[in-house]
Amino acid sequence: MTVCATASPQSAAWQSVLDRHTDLFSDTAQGASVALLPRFVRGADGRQRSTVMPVSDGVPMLLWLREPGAMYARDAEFRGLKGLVSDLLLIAGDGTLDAALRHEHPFGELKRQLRSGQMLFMVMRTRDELRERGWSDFIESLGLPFLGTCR
Amino acid sequence: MSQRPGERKLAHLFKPARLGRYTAPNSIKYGACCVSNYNTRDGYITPRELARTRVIAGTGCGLITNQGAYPDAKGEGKSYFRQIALFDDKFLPQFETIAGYIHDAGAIAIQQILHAGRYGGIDLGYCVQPSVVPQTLPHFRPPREMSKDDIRCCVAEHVDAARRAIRAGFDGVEVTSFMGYLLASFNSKFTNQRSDEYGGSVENRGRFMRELIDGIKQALPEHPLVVRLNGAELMDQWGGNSEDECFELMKQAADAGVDMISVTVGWQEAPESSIGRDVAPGHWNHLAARAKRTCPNIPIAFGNRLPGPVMANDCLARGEFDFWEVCRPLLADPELVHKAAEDRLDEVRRCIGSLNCLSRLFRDLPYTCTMNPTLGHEIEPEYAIRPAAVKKNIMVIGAGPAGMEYAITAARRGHTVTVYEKGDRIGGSLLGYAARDLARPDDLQSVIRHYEVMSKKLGIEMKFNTEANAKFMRSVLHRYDACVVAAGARIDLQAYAHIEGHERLVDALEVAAGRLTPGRRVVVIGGGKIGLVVAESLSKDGAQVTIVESDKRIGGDVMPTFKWRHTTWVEELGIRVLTSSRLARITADGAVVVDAKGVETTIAADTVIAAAPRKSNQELLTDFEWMVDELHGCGDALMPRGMDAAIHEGYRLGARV
Repeated sequence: MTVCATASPQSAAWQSVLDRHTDLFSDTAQGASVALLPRFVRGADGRQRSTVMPVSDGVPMLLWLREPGAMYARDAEFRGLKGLVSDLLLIAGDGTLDAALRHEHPFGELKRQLRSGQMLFMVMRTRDELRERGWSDFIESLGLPFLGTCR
Repeated sequence: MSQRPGERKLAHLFKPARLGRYTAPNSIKYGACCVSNYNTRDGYITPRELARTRVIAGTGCGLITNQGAYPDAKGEGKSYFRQIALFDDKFLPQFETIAGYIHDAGAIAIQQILHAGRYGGIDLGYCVQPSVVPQTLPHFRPPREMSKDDIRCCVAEHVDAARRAIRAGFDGVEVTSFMGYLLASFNSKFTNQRSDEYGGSVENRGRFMRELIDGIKQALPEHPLVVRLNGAELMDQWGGNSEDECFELMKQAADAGVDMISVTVGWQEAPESSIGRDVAPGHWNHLAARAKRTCPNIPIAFGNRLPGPVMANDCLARGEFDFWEVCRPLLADPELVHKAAEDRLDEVRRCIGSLNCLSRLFRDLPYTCTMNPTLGHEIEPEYAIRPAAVKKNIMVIGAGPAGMEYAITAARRGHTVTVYEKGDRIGGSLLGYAARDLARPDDLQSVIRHYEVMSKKLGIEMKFNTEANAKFMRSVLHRYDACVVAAGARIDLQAYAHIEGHERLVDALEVAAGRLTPGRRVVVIGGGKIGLVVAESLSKDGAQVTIVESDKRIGGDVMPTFKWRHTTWVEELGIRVLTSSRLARITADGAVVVDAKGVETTIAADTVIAAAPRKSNQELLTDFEWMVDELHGCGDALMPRGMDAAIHEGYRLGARV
């Protein structure tokens, strides 16, 4: 996982969203992060493929990274699940992140997208680690059961 | 053999049915729907479990599946905190006892082998899967990919466990290829991203399951093998199997030689509901019917969200499946099958789909049931209904769940019971809330109907429209040996006495009961279960509703498996929610609330409803102290909680006093 120095328009837009919701991240530990990854990318051959499958080339992704004082939106590169050091992973269907950004309540829209299956949520750490790293509020705010549930 | 009246009415349900070389006395399969968590941390079956299993054996089901045992010594297959194990002969004695209980009851005994795969490794720092696909629920362990050697070893462990089950006296075994467990994770495109012969096409993905079926059938050709398979994963939108692929996998299992397919619905992590009471009974029956059409020569068992024997009998009559697979309704009422056979279905305690059983499992607690206070306590004599040593004349104050549960339990023990209720019917505050339940009002109302039926059958005298107070108590002085105060709880409006405009507040219970009709713009103070139910029902009826909650999140007192339902309903209905906020004052225009930062917001409202805090109606316990020999309290009258505690406390007190 490589974090880019420059900020894309999308990460700048998410930065303003994160700034409006500091309470959700107030307990997160330094270095804690959420990776936001497109569900599909087009390869050099023009064919669409899933990013969750083993990837060889870097795929652009968005990172919400806890740094001193606040949560920052950063552009980064995804090089496969094994190299991902984020705590949480959100895999976004086509256009879903932009749709969330356009929405009056972006996190509410993310929650709806998760429920409708347009976005997939994955955890990259154990429950105890996530709790220690301060993610309980954020996970619950997305309507995801922090503890397991059978529906 | 003479037939009982219900057996004639439900002839298809009580018809003998074949499984391999065995014939079950009826077409009802007790499904291993839940692991009890009653056992030791290292997999031994406890006396508590044996006592529970004795009750299961006596349910009257023709085919009984014992709960899933993990087959490997490492515990990679172990998914629940106190799950039973079958990887060594040292576990055999208790399995022998259970097989004996089942046979003594005249049923066929099946042992489930449960390797949880993606949901396993509960005591380890990892779980095993076909590929490294991260978890979607934090509860589960990080994944490790299985090698081909691991797969071979796992097949051998399943075969060993199956052999062991047969040696213990079981007639057959069941393997778990559903719900996201190990075999299901190989079957599914979502979790299987392998590029070897175990991944890729549906044929390849089903290879592990077929090899495992083949291994067990080769080792135990004379003994029936059941496989549980998803008719729908409900994971297709995340890249999981389509329904067509699920049925293709059923065909593979059938061709591999299984003797029965048990059809189920959903994965544990599926975003969609499958077994809660928000799903209509019969909703998934079409999946069983399709399984029967797909595999016409193999018995099909089915029971997901099919809680009633009448509907099951109809499905059997239409040939939609061959065995009604039932579990949760038998947790709620272990006598269900006997009551059906005796044409006493009106006495059944229905499973209300609150999923208390599952909520507790995911907190590593033993399962219990809202409707059945004895579940898990079968070994304790204190929970048994025994004739009272001294028959007493008992008065009960309040006809809600706590009071009625106490009344019917005490009456069953031989006491003479009179219930005094200030309302005009049984139900207490549940009456109002049940009618407003967005999931399925009929399920909650069935609790009230049960008490209505049983109070009549047990000869409990009901005195309605009677408010119990000290004056009333003086009028019945010396008439009763004991008094049970089960007067419930109220919204504590006094808690708002210091707030400007507090006289405008209305009580959520009055609104729920329909005694007060709010305006079109409503503010509900309190986002717990009472506030949510009232807010949702008003919003559904067209009101513009805002919930104000002092906590960081709504639904703090809601059963975990229902919390997400409430948050979904709140969003779908467009209910505005202000958390970390409290009521500051009420004006003619509405409510003024203040958030944690001290920022005030004015919400235009015609009605401001208080749904919190609650306060116990326990004053009678003080008022009656010198008026009756024995005085007891139970349910919300002691501490405001909910129906679960009310029913359980009512029962425990009834079994004791």
